[in-house]
Amino acid sequence: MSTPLIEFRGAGKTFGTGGRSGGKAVTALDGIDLSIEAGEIYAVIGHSGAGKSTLVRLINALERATSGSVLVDGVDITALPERRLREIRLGIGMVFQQFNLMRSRTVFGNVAYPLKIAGWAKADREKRVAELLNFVGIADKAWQYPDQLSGGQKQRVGIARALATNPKILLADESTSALDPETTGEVLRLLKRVNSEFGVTIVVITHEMEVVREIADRVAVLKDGKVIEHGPVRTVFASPQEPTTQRFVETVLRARPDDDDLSRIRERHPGRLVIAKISDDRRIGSVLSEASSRYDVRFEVVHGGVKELGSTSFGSLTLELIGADSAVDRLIADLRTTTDVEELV
Amino acid sequence: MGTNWDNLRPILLDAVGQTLWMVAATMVVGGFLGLLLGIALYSTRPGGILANRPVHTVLNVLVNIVRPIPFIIFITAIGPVTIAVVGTQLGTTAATFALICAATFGISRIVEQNLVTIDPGVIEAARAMGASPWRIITTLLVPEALGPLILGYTFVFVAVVDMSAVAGAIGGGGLGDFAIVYGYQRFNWGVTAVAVAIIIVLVQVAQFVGNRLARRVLRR
Repeated sequence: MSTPLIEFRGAGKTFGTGGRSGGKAVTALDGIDLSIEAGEIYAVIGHSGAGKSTLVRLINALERATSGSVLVDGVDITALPERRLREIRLGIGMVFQQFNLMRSRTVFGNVAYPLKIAGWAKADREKRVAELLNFVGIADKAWQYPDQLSGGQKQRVGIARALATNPKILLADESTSALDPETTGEVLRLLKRVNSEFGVTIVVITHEMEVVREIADRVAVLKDGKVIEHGPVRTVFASPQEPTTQRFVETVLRARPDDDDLSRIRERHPGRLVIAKISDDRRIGSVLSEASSRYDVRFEVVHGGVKELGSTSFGSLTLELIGADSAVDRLIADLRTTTDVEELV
Repeated sequence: MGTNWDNLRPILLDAVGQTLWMVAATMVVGGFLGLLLGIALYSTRPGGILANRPVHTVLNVLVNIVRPIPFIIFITAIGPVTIAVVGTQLGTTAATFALICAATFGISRIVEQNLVTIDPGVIEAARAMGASPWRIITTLLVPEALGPLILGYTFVFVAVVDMSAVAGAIGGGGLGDFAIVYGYQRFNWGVTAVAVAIIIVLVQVAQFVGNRLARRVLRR
């Protein structure tokens, strides 16, 4: 078994125990146990205030854990002196929601800045910056200032800057939350390329399940400073255990009618309504194709959605079933042999 | 009453020279010390890159004590220190010393206020890249706040011209001294008006240059 690249061992973070706040401590993170393997894209999702930003900052020790420990590449960074941490940070890039570029420097100057910190020679810096700007696709903007760039371009600069010193780890803190959907897609594809072409391990912090679906291999769901659920993205999407996770999954699938949808559907569709889950190994087509001939039931698709996730699909359909109660019951029973069916009453 | 400009001209030129010297020395030395003190105030504040509560409190109180003292009182109150450092309490050098002290504290606040406007996220990004506090101070803080800093220093320049006129009170020389001795005390409004006109030109030029520089740095 390989040792994970990043490991949280019962890590916690409490703010405001310095004395002056008079004991009004706020616990941001509590007993976090997570292992992130080299080469994967790991997402941490949660609502604002769940502790995501603090969690990601424990990895490069911008915040220090107040309990437990955090190991990066086998080194416990919890108690390292600031000087040692600065060396470790050279190997961990970070991308921010608000980009955090220096307005006083050009795109070139911004990307070259971490190289200066790392002590690269001028000629090497110039070569590396040109390489990076090419990779993120903004070589023509090298001499522009951040003010002159669009959000998507700024984030490309941010990613180039974060990759400058060839880090093993890239931390992306809500890196697409300030961008429109189209630009979000471009930036996510860029991050994916960073992972596949350079083998950089990426930790993505987000509140959008769509981001998790697009790029992550595994996901942890954070709520009130605790990890409430974690696992491969496919598993979490297929069978979310916690209500919070279910709601996150639902934001992507949009497959389940909410109360407003339901009352509108009922106005037009007086028959019995059922929700059937869809996935590659749950095929409802064979049963439905015989609905009228075998069960004497008519059906109508009234709501639903199916999404691709990696190489499989997920989703659910809401069906109106019209026929004698006993007939409908029989059809539902047979549907249940292939998938989860929930009747809306 | 005819003014004898042939006699006054060399005295006036001397006065202009003294004012320029006092202001320049104050802007360079006081400007530098004020920058250091301002950076110290900013960096040691809670949550700052060199957060240190006791140091911050001491600096803060010190600046708050010195800054509100009117310069006419400050220049006399600081007398013993001036004698200890300069050797005399009178003359242009003594006045310049007092100006530098007052300007240092005034400038430190302006520097601190401008540094506060820097986005903390940019500083966090630099920390995440492994930058030391010293590197952040030298390569990030000043460049990022340069535009507003130039405007702040321009504002201080005008204030220092104003304060330098008070130097006349301790025989410090300069345009203020000239206007009072040869203009006000001899009821010669013409002389006063010339001194005022020169000060106005000086301030206008400084403001113009400051604005141009700031605009260039801010690229707008």
